[in-house]
Amino acid sequence: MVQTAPVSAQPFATTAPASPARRPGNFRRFLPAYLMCAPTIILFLVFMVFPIFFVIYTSMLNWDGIGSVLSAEFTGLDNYQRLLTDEIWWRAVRNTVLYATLKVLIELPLALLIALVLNSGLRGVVVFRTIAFLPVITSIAVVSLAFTFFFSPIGPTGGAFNTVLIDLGWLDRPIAWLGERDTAFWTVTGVAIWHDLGINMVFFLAALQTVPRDLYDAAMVDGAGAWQRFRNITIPTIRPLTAVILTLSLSGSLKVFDYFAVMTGGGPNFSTTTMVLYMFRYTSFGGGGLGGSQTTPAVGYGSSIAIGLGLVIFAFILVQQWINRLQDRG
Amino acid sequence: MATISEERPRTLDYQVPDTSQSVLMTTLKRSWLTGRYLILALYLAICIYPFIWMLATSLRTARGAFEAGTSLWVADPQWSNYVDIWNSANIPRAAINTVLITAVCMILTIVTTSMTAYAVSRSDFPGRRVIMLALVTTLLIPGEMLIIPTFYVNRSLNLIGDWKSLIAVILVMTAGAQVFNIYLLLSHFLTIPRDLFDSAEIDGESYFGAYWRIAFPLITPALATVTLLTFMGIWNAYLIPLVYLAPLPDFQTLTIALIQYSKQYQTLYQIMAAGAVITLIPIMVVFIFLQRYFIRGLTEGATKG
Repeated sequence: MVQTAPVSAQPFATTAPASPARRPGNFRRFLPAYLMCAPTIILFLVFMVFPIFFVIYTSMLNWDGIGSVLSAEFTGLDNYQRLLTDEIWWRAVRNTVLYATLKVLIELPLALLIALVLNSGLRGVVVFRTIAFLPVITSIAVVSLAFTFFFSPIGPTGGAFNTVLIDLGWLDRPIAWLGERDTAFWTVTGVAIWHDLGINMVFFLAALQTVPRDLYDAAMVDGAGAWQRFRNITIPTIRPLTAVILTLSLSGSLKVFDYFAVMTGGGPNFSTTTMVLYMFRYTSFGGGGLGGSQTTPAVGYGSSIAIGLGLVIFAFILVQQWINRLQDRG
Repeated sequence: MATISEERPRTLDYQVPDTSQSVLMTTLKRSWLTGRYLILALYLAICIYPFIWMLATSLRTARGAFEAGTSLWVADPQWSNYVDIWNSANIPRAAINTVLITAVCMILTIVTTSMTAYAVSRSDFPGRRVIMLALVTTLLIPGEMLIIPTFYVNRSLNLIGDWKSLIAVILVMTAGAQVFNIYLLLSHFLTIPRDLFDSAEIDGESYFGAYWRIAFPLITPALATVTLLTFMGIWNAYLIPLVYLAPLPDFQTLTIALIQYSKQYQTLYQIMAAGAVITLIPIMVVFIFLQRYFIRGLTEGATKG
């Protein structure tokens, strides 16, 4: 869950004036400060900065990832050319974007609705919030595993989900929700919404509690109805935080992996393959059992997929920030 | 800014009559009043039911697990399922690995991020802006993009294979936790007046001493947040442990061990459910006791960072 990256650079804006001019002796004077930053800087260089350049380089190689990278054949932009015409890659992009869109369109309004309910002066908010938050803190992989039984078609009426639908008379016999092309994607998305709704609910709850009480009182004196208050006070006040929630949800959803890896492994027939999952198809990671890995890994091609997915995520965040800025102005 | 108060939140007071009442508005308002309890009850049931259902499944016989349907009732609890998973999926070993990775990552993350946040917030050393700019830039780079190259970095550092892979996992996850937590801590460090450090230095406190004896205690609440978020992130991690530990039976985490087991014995639902319960219980217990800190931490992470 630590993927929730903060978005604004606020803390840095409030820092002290520009650094003093370089003088001899400065280094000695600041030696303790450098030493204290050293572990972060080293981790940063070794596991962030260098890998960025390395993945750009390997994306231009014909490399199986087993031999030395130095002896791999340099193929220029061939991998990217292949990527652009790779039908399954585009299917993975489509799946991922559809998933992220569904998450934003279904999960965020629901989260706001439940936050509004919780914020409307009920008793026992803490208990409700704790229960609603329970799915969020549980391991996605483990919960996904449990849901494979929940949606299972095995048994007289299948797992709990099939049983409910059969009892309601909507189904005659159990369906393999996670095994059919038409249902697997939607089922996994449903589980993801179930798991992540609580965190956005809590974010919205925090946003709602920043709305000044006086504003509501004043509006009521002026005769504004509940809808008008919501429309003209609540929404404008929580808008900045909503933008943050949207960015977090979007960037998190576009990186989705765990749900699909555990529940469907990307199948059947790539109908649930996501961008990250597809990247693993060309590696030997995870014992080579991921996303129907190739028998001979193609790490060079996998690297170009990594760059591709980075660009897709980057593009979405840019567009979202741009729309956000337009709205701020308008 | 927006921490959630524990008391009853400010009321939206829907009971006060509107002066501009139409029939529609009255109907809407009335259905909202009863509707909100329905929404909440339904939502909470949906949240909690799968967990209880899984708990029930973990106590069923093999036959019972297939025939249970929606039932939550278990006539004859099969505690032996827990013994089975404990013995067959290398759970004790995986539990030790998980605790080890989580603990080391937590300590390393706290030490490294708090030291950096302290130095950056206190001193205007040359290069400080470069560090901050680099941190901001990294926010735009999804960690998933770097999984392939970091694996080969670790391979070059001779950190692949058995216990060395554990070190690789710890380093990669600690590196991944840096930016977010530095942000979080920085906003707290910046609230400490610099004069406090300057006067401590006059009193003969060293640079590091001021961090350890003055700054560190002052930001304990923020450090608690970092600890909890790291705990949650590492305990639940799947992707990175999968990359490094899946091929090493003795060095897996609980999650990896359980998923690997499930791939092997696809229909032993009751045993897998027992494994899932074992994996989920520790974090649920921690959460229930510390829920307000979890929620405050996550909220703060999103709104303040």
